[in-house]
Amino acid sequence: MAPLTAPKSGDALFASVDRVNAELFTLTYGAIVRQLLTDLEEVEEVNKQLDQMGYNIGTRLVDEFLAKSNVSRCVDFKETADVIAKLGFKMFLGVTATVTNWDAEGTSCSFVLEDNPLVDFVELPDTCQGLHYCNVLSGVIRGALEMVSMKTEVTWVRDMLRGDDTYEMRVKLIKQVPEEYPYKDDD
Amino acid sequence: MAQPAIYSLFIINKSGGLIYYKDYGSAGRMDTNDSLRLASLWHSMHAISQQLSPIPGCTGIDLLQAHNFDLHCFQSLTGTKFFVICETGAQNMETLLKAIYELYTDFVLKNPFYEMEMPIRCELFDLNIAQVIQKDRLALLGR
Amino acid sequence: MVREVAESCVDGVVMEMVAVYCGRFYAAKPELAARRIEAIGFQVGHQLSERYTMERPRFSDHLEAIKFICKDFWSELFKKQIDNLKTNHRGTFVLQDNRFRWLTRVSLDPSAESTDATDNDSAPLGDTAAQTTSMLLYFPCGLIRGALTNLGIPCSVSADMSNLPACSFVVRIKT
Repeated sequence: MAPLTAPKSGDALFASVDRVNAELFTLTYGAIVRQLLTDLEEVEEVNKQLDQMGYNIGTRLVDEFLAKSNVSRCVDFKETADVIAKLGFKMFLGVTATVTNWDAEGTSCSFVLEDNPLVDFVELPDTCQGLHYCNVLSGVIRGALEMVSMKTEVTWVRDMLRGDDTYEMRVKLIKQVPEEYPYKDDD
Repeated sequence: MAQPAIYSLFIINKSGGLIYYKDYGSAGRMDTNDSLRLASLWHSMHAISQQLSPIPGCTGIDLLQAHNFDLHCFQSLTGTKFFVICETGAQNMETLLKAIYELYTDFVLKNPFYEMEMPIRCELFDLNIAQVIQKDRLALLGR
Repeated sequence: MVREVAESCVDGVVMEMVAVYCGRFYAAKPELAARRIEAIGFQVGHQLSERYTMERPRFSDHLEAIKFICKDFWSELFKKQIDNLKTNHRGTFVLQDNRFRWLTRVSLDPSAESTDATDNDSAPLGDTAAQTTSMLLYFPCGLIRGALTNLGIPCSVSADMSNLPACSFVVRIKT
């Protein structure tokens, strides 16, 4: 089906949604991470929990993104990655990501975030070694892609909170779940 | 009195389960079992239509026309189907379905009590849908 | 210019936070879940009040601080002010928001008469829904308490949401 209206530009998209003061978001997320660290004690458990939270958020956010952005079906994973980087990040966080480091098969790439509102004001104490503070973001990507039939693995390879020069998350397409044909096994 | 432009609205989850059905004044309102069965049949037919397509990349039936009604269907990329039964030749149904999809993302998916893939029971969603349908009806009649 | 993000980000994170604490961690102990959620709100309120009061003189009395919450603080967070403020002049204040942003998408009532295709869902919401909504409200209660505490006013805050999406926050100042 031809799109009814042309996809919006990232800026137009961000301008069209309801927005709030980013501090509220950043501080709320920070307070949740802190509380989880207190309650779960193990940093690895906190990482898992943040990823799971992101996943759950992603499975819902993806529809809002599709409904409001007017993007149509992407031809391949490359196009999908571009849409996420240019429109997805923009619509929700107001920043764009750069897609780089494609592998030869075109099934894994990196999102690089120069500007990451999630970490404004954040400094990790030494006691939080091993914490993937931004795991909620990778979880969101994984959850959202799964809803459009793409199973992915998303991991952080660079993290400024851990001393790297930027934020880089690696997205690997594990498999593209084929469309279901319900009438085949319907008895 | 003018006939309502929209007779009914259905939403089907990605596994073919009916999660929303509203009747806006059609002659034969369906009972629960009938509507569930019909939803799952439509889900299959939609899939079959993709298989029938001579060229790959078909996304299924968008419009089904009968002599006394039209059925417009929109499937989101996440696999949820929205379809309306309306008067023949009713205009702007794609836009209406898109608007309903947006309301779904706002009032269903952001309702903390809504569990994904489950039947939708959200008063605010009902209210907002009723409003767009009303607006749409007015726009149609005002022409 | 103030940096902004989509409101959905906050909605999503708050919704998941409540789900995590009420469902996954403390399903059987709602009072513990409530305390955690309130604590998270408290920290955020504490930090935000610090930021929003940086450039203003100290408050001369309780009422002035409460008014700051109703106007400036609320506007920063919700782009509107508290609609109605009442007090008994003995340390209790009722802050009413006629359309509390975080409740505008909560549908509580699975209306009984809608037998439309959806009655195969057996679990009635009822009490649990009301309980979860009050869980949602522990967060803003914590926000207010955190902000006021940071302004030197120890208090307790509770919420009344008998009339969605209106919501009243009751602030009791500890003396």
